[in-house]
Amino acid sequence: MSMIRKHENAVAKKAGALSLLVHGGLLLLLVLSVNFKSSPPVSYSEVELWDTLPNQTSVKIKPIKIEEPIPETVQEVKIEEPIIEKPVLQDPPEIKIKDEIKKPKPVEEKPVKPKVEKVKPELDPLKALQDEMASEDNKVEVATKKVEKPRISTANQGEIDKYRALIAEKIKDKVNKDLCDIGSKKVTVKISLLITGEVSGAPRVVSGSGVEACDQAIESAVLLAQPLPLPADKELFAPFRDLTLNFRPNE
Amino acid sequence: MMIKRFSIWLLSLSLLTPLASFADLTIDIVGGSASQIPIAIPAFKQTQGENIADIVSADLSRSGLFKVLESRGVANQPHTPSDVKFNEWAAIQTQALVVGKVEAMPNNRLKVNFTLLDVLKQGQLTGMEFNITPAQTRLTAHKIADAIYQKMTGEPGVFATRISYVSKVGKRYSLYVADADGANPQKVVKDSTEPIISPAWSPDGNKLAYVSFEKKKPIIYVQSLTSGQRYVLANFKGNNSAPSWSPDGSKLAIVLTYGANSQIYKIDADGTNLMQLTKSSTIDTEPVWSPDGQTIYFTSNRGGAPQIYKVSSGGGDAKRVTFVGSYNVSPRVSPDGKQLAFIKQEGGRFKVAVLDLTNNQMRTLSDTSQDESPSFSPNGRMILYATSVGGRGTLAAVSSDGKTKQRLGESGGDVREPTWGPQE
Repeated sequence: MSMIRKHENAVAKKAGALSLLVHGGLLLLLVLSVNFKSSPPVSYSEVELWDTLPNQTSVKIKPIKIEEPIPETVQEVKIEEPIIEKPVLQDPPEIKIKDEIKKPKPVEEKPVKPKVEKVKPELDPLKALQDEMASEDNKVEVATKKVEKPRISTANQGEIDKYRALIAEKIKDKVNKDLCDIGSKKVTVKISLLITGEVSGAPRVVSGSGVEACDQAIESAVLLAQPLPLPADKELFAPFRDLTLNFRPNE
Repeated sequence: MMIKRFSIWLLSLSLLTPLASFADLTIDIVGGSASQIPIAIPAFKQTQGENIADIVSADLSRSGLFKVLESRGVANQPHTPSDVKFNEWAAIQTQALVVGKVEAMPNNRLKVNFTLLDVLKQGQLTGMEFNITPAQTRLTAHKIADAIYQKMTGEPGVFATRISYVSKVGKRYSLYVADADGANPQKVVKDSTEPIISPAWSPDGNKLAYVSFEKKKPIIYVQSLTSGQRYVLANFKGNNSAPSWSPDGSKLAIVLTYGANSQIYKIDADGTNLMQLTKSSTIDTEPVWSPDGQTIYFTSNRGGAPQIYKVSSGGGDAKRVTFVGSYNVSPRVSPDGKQLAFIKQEGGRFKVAVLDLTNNQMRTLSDTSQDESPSFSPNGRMILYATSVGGRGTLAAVSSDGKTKQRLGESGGDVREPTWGPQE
C-alpha cells in the first residue's frame, strides 16, 4: 500500500506541476490572444476606408485636407464619424466632408447620398446666405432681398441673350462676306432701334474695314435684316435701344 | 468673413449688372451667309433697240455676285432719281436700284443717263452720262454694268472687255473677237481652210498674235484690230507657235522647233532679237509671262509626264511648279500673279484647276470634262475656257473660287481657243 501511495504521491506531484504549467500557459496564451486581437481590428478598418477614397476621388476630393492626417489619427475619426456625425447635417463644413467621403462608396450608403446630392446644387447660394445670417443677423434682410432680385434679372438675361442671338442670326443671313476680303479685321457698327425693330436713322460705322464695299455690305446687311427681332415683353426693349454690332465676316 | 461678404456683394452686383448696363449691349456677328447683292434694274426709258436694263441685268446676273430682282411688279417705274419712291423698292427687299433713260440727240447720237441708288439709305451711289452712237449702245450697257459692279464690289468689272476665239464651221476656221458675254462677234481674220490657233491679246488690247497654218506650216502673225493690218512675227524653220505677250507689250515668248524639239524663245514684238530661253532635249511649249514680267511659266515633259515649269524671263534653269497629278498643261497666271490656272487630267477627264502660288494649294474648278485653254478675266475673278459638249466645242467660264459657272453664247460653230482680252 505504501509503495502504491508513494508512487501515487510522486505521480500526483508531477501531474500537479504539469497542470499548473499548462494552466499558466493557457492563461498566458489567453492574455496574449486578447491583446493580439484587440489592436489589429482597428488598423484593418482604417485601411479599408481610405483605400477606396483615393481611387475614386475627382474634383470634389481636393478639399479633403484630412487625407494626410488621417493615417495617423484615423482611429478616433472613424469611431465618431459613421454614426454620430450623420445627423449633423446643418454644419456646412462637415456636410461637405461627408459628401466627399460618401461618394466614393456609392453602394454602401445609398440612403444618405440622395439627401446630400439634392441639397447641394440648389442650396449652394443659400448656404452662403445662411452663413451670412448666422454671423450677422442685422444683414439677413438685405441679403435675402438681393437673392430675389437676381432671380428676376437672370430670367431677363436669358431672354436678352436669346434675342441677341436671334438678331445676330438675322443680320448674318444678309452679310455678304464675299465682299469682305479683310482677313481677321473687325467692323463695328452702332445702331439705334425703334421698338418695332426698325433701325432709327443710318447705321454708324465706328470702326470700318478700310474696304468701302465691305463696310457698305455690312451696313446694308443691318438694314436688310429689318425689322430685327425683339422680346415680346416691351419692358425688355431698353437694353436693345442702342446696339453695338461687331462683325467678323471671315471667321 | 470679409471674403464671404465681398463674394456675396460681388454675386449680387453681377446679377444686377445686366439691368443697369443695357446702354452698351453688344452683339457679335461672325461670318456671313449672303452671297449675292440684291439689285433692281427697271427698264430704261428707251425708244429703240435692246433695252439697256436687260443687258446690264444679264451682265450682273452672270457674274454670280448679284441677284437681279423682278421689278415689273412694282408700281413705281422711275427713270430718274426724283421719280423714285423708295418705300416701294424697299418692299421687295432690294439693296440697290438702277434708273436710267436714253434720249435722242442731234446728228443721230444718243444721250444715256443712269443712276445707281442705295434703296436702304435712300441715297445716290454713282451715276454717269454717255454721248454715243446707236452702235455703241451695247458697249455702253456693259460700261454701266462695270460701274455698278465696281461701286458695289470694289473690284473693276469686266463686262466691257472682249474675248477672242477660233470658230470652225464646216472646214473653215475663223478668228473672232466678241463682247465678254459672247455677243456681237466680229470676224477679224478671213476664213481659212487651214487651222488657226493660239490667239493672244497684246496688253493694250489693240493687237492679236496668232498662229495660222495657211502656208501649210505654223507661222506666227500679229494683227492690228484697229487697222486690220498684220505682219509675220516668226516664220523660222520648223514650227512657230504659242505666242505670249510680255506685260509691257515689247516682247513675245514663242515656241520654235528651230533646233530639233520644241523650245521656248523670246522675241521682240517687231520680230527681231530672238533669244532661246530653254534648252532641253524634251518638249517645252505653251509659255506665258507672269504679270511682273520676271518669270515665264511653260509646259514640259522633261520629267517624263507633262508638267508645268517656270524659268526666268532672262533664261536659266527651269523649276518644276506642279507636282500633283501626272498631266498638267496650259498654264495661265492670274493678273495679281498669285494663282496659276491650268488643265489637269483627272481620271481620263480634263478639267480647269487652279494652283495658289503662295501656298501651293490646288483646286479643281470646272464640272466639265473636256476642258482646254483656260484664260483669266482682267480682274482675275473668272476663268474663260473651251470645253466640249456633245462633241462640239463651246465656251464656258468659272469663277476663280469655283462658285459660279456659266456657258457663253453659242455661235453654232465649233468654238476653241478662247482668250480674254485686257481691261481697256
